[in-house]
Amino acid sequence: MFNTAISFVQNNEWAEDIAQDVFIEVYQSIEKFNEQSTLGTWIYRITVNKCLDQIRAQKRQKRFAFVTSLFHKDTGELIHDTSNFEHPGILAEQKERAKYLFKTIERLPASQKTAFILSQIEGLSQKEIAEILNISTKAVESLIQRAKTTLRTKLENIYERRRK
Amino acid sequence: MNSRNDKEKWVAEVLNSMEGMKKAEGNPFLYEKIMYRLQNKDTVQDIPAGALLPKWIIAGLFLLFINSIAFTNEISRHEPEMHNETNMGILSEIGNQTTYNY
Repeated sequence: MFNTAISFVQNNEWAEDIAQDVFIEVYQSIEKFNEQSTLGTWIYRITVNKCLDQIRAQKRQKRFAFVTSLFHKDTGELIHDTSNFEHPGILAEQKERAKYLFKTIERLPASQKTAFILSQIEGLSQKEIAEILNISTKAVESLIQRAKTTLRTKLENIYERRRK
Repeated sequence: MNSRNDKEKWVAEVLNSMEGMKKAEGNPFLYEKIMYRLQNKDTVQDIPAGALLPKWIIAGLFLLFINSIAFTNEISRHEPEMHNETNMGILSEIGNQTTYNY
């Protein structure tokens, strides 16, 4: 759960908050669980929804960042800048490259991002992802494929910019 | 050709940088934090919507008050001009009448 959350929001504190919220929601609404899906699927669904809510709130905050305290008073830099995020599970020798990958994942559309994270980071099957997102397996396959294509294009652009 | 290969190699390396990745683990005190929140949830009461009503009324009255001040100011700012226009109109009328009368 924490792993999914941190991959989505790319911030340790927010991921912890989400993990707590998910636990509490599961505890409080376990009676609502109708056993049409597995418990794991249900928990994943709650986690994904909470992560997407957090991202939406994050975007809203960014939009109004100029009037909030999101910026350092002295340097003017963003306090919660995700561009230098390091996933704690990444191998030491891959950290530098993974930074670019997470920076690009962050910019994916929500549906592609969800499918990509659940498939590539969580290692879930397309069938499991389809159940979590309540879509067909074909749709999941298409989302993952599109996510990979988008990531490739964006990374190529980053490479070009770095060379200039 | 070489640069294209370099670019493709770099992109592939970045895309494969998740290989061997381990699952991130949360704070070891996460369970305690959750238990604390669950236990305190019972003591923290949600504020009923009705309790905020007087605040809404006060806020509404305050807005009305501010608006009325702004409106009064706007009128008093234009008042001398309005008076002048009326006076000039009356004067010119009187003047005209005077000319005709003579």
